[in-house]
Amino acid sequence: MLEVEQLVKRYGKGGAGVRGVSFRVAPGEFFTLLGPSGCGKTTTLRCIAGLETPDGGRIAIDGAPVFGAGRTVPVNRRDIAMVFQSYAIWPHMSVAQNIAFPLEAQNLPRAERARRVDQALAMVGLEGLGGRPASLLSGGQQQRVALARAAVRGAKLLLLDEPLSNLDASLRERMRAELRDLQQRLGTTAIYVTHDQEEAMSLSDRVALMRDGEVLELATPQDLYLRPTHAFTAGFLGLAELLPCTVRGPEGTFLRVDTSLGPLLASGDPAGTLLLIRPEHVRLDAPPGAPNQLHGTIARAAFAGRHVDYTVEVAGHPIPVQAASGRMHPVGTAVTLTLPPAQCWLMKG
Amino acid sequence: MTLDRAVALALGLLLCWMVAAPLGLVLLSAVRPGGFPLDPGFTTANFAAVYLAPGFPELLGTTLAFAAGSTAVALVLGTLLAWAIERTDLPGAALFRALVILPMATPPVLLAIGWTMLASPRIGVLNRVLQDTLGLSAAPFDVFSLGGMVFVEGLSLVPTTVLMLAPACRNMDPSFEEAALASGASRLRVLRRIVLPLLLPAIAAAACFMMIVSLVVFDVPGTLGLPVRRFVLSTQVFHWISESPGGVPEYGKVGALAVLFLAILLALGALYRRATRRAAAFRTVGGKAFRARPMPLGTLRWPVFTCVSAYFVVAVVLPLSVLVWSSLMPYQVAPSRAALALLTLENHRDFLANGQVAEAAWNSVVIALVAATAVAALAGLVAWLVVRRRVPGGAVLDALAFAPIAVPGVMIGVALIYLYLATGPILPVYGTIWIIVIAYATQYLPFGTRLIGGSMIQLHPELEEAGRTSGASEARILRRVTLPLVAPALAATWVWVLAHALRELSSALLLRSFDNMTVPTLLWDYWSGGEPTRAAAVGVWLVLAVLGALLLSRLVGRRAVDA
Repeated sequence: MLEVEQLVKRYGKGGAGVRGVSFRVAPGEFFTLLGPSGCGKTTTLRCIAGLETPDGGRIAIDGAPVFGAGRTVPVNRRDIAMVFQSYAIWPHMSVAQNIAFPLEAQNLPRAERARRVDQALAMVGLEGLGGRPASLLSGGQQQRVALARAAVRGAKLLLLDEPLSNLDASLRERMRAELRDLQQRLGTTAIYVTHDQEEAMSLSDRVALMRDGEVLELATPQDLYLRPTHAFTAGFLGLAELLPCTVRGPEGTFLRVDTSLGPLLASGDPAGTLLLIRPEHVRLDAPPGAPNQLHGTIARAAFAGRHVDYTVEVAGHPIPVQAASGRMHPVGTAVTLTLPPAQCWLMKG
Repeated sequence: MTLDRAVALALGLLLCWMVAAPLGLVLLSAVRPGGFPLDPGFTTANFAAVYLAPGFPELLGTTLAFAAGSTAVALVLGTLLAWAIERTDLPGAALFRALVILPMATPPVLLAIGWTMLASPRIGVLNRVLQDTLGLSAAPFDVFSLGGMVFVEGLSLVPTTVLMLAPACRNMDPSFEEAALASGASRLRVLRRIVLPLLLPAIAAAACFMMIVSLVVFDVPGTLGLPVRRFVLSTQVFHWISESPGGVPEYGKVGALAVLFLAILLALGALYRRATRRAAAFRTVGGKAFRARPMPLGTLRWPVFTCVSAYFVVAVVLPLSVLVWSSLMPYQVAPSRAALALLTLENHRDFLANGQVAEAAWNSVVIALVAATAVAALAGLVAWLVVRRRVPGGAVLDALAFAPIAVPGVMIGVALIYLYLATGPILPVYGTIWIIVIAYATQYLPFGTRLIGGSMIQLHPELEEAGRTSGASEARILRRVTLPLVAPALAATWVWVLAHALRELSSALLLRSFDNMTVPTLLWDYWSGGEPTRAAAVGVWLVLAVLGALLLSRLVGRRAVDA
């Protein structure tokens, strides 16, 4: 559905721009460009939209080239719909006029426009608000209007530029679910840009993690989170403890490694030199005798509601551990940590 | 709070004296038989003499057509220019942005004189050239016509229009345009359905403002309309007072005429205030932080460039070149190779050596400095009391400080004549430069309060509240927090008034006497006295002076941005 090949966009000194980004997105896929600010994700999206002209590379939407080989299809001739970070709800129009605009641009008859606007309003749960001036909407409502305006056109490609970042936390989680639901119902292909790793993982079929204008890693959310190949990916997607290690050799289905905590069983890259341990994978309540057990003392404990954040001292190393909040270990308690070998992930540094 | 109230009360009384008293006297004179407000008696004869006169419909029609036409010209050119300079990839946009200062430094009276030299039917350079090359029997242009006045006044209003619309263009969230493009709309549709409607409140405010200015302006109709007896409001007032057939100023008729125009102008003033508030409300809608990306003009790039360049040729290059040329000639000659032999610096030498000129220049500078300081101080005080301290009766203060925007300079002149003739024994300012200072301070007060008030509204109240919670007194907060933050606006007001006071003509023309000549009145005397080349020399120096003041403002403005 979307092909991006060796996309290059240079900025003046300072900006990283985009340095040779390539990926393909399948029809109906929810694809996310994730990365810290300045990594080039928004620039990539704007190049796809046609709002920026790349300095090199090729872009094709639904098999039709829109950029490359000396030809550039202008933004208004591309079969896309876009949701902006600021929503860009035109303040001089009513809600219905805002949503109807893409249809107006197609010169659709008035009655057809009204019918489809009503449909779109119903789809985002804003029935009956069509006549309201757009300047009187709340943030969440503006967000829904922006979605309806993007959906109404029935474009093949839906581009979303950090659409949830201006909402408050609780609304953001609700809109996240609605967004995914909407995309599934419409069956469109979505390209989503965000710097929020939770948002990226919960929404996407696949995520491209970008850094300094390049795609560092491209995978499903599970692979990216549980089985990353870069230390940067591991750290960007969640809390991560990274231990330097040396692989000794296979042992059963796992690999035996030496770390400063002692010998451990791990999975992943046999040539790896770093061991990734996620605090929520470490168990405090496993029965004795399981592999990868370490003894330590609780050095810090912080109750966070949904879970408890501990720091456990093991052989002089502070190891972060996240445990369910049913029971609270006081500071100073001696505990046994269990690191499931399947979730001790080896990667190259 | 009691100190606030005392200051507000004192300020209110001062504004009544500056604004309400003179206007009241003008209106009172309308019902006095002799036209002097303090004379006894009551009559309606003045109204009959004005409104039932056979020439009245033409006067009203010409004035309105002139104002509407000039406003239309300024809006079309100004909107295009502001948008092209601020929002597109127009070649040389940065250069054009800097060049807008040039037409601003050209006083309207000089623009009119320049265009007289270019397009008067008898001696106009353009007419002569076109007649000679095309073999026309009659001159193609006549600047002494309603069309000529509209053209020149429209040109002179363009820089202010650009200044008013440029921030609106600049602050418009670019994702509004991008969202429309991404919706599949063509560039033309985006312009028509998104950009123009979003700019509409700002354009409406600019339209009201331009309408007010062109209803009261004297310079252009004075230069182009008076010679052919085509009157508008301001020139009619000037004519009744300075050139009345009986030799006695017809104050009564001026008062009677003032009633109608003050009503029109105050209504426009109220509209203007509503429009600016709507524009402000519109601006707060929209996105968060954004980087403005210039819109590619595509194939329109060079046509738009040509239009923008043509404006600068017509508004700056042509009139200023012909002025400089004339200033170097012993008498008015069309530019030609033969005329080069006549080149002389006589006019400039005369300007620099003439004692009368030195006095006028000194007067102009003193008047401009004092008026600029007075306006910055008064407007700052009004804005602070109204916006920051929210004193009771603030709305009245605000309205009093805003009202002069709707009063023609010539009418302020007349009003001050009454007031200070009547109070002559106690306040002997009549006939001195101080009466001109008072006139300018009154005329420019609305601009000052608008500019400074605007910047005070943008100050977040928490900035001052943080000062209070730090334990600082109100006086210390004013000195250490509020004043430094509005200092750029105060400085901008000061320079703006300085530049405009240097070039102001209308009220000075009515208030002048032997001792308070200014450079613009001198220029007017030379011009109307049939010495165009000397007038041109004065004009060249005047443009340089105003340009200097404006460049100073750029410098101050840039420092304010850096801070």
